[in-house]
Amino acid sequence: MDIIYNYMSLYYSGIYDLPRNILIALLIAFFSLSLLIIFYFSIIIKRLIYIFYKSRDQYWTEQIDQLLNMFLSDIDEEQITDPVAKILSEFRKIPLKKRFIKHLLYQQILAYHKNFTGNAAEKLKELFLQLHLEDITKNKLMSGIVQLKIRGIMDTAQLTLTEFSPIVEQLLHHRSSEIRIEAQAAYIILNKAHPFDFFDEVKEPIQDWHQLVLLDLITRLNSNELPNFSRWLSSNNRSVIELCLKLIVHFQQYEAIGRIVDLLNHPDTEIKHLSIQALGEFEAVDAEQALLDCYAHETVEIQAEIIKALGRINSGKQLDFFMHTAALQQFEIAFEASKALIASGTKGIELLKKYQVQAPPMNKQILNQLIG
Amino acid sequence: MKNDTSMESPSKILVIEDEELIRKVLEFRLKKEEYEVYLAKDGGEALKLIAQYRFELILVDIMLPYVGGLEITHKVKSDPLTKDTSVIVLSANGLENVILEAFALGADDFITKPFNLPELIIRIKKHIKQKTA
Repeated sequence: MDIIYNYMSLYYSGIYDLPRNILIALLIAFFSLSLLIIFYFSIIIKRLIYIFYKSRDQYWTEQIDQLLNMFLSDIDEEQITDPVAKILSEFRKIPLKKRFIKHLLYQQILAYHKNFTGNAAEKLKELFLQLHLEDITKNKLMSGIVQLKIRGIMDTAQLTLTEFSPIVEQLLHHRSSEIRIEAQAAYIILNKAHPFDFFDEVKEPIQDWHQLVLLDLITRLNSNELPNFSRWLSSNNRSVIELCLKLIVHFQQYEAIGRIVDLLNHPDTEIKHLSIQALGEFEAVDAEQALLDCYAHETVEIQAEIIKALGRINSGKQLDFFMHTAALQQFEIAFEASKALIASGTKGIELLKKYQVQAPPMNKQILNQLIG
Repeated sequence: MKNDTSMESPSKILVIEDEELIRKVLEFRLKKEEYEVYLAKDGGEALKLIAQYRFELILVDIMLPYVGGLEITHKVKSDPLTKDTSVIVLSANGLENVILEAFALGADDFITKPFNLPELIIRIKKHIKQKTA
């Protein structure tokens, strides 16, 4: 013992005798090395924990998959009258009280449900409810974390959990636009009787990309159950009007033409633009005069859109108007008017050919391009 | 009704699908029908298996890593050795132009995802029955 003690004291007294800067350098080196070791050690621990959780989840996912595969197969067996009751006894053997297993089961049932239609999807939903997994959906819906809330809304919509409709309804006007979008999309799915009621109350603008999401969703619904979207053309929210105009055109709701004509005097240019486009799409002969009436006091862009719409309507009564506008020195207007004349047939083409000879350079160039 | 050719050697089916869940379900169901099932999770793996075995039917997803489902369909149907293999194309995109392209490349059937499992099994049986008749 004495030898060790003597050696240690020599060693320590040796260290203290070193110059101060060397001592500081040694101290820094010692701390850096210690930190490095702790850092590597924590990485190893994290990796081990990750591997443990991954293999644990993998094991239970496989168990769950096996049962779900058996379940899907039982659904088609005629001799099994109640496949849900049969598989429930198997699922009860799994320790569902463990939170992570319950969450894995939740994820897997949703994943299976997403990939299949028909009886399989219905029975998976029944199984989901029998296992009381909707509690997880509810917790997600009530969560303060945006992403979890969104996931909860999506799950609610996927399984059409109508019991959570009131919660989704509360989220329709949420301050987060992401939550609002999902809630509005889910509301359309959940509220079968009046899926578009929220149009009456929506105050925040429905952004373009959000309109696309809703359009995609609504166009996949049964068109027999859709309301007349002209009901919302007098909304105070311009984005609701925009969306409804697109829906009216998509579902060819001709009965809305009168309401669309009223929008030609709307102060918003985009709405005016969409209304003119809609009247053109509908080839609304009755709207021809209204379009001509507002032509004079509109911007060049809107005037070109009006000519385009009149060209689509193609009543044959506007040849003089088209000829007059085709000779103007504004490219957009002259171009659309020339196209409208071509679309109106032989008479229109003849008029253009006659004009082509004496047309100014820009108009001549347009005609050369269109009729050669 | 099990695989009609169960008295002879079972019909070989290749399932090419990048989504593990669908692979597992189809493997389970088709094995239950007593088919010999091979699985590929991407186009590269699938092409190796196609070169190695003669399949009665190939079930292929359009969106696949490396080599797409339509390219596989084209390769299978343009090769004299494999042109008689039935190809069922699976896709989440049910747009008309995608369906038409699949049929133009020689696909025998087209199923849109999400799909009805019993319906898919019936279609598979029907195509295999036609090939083995």
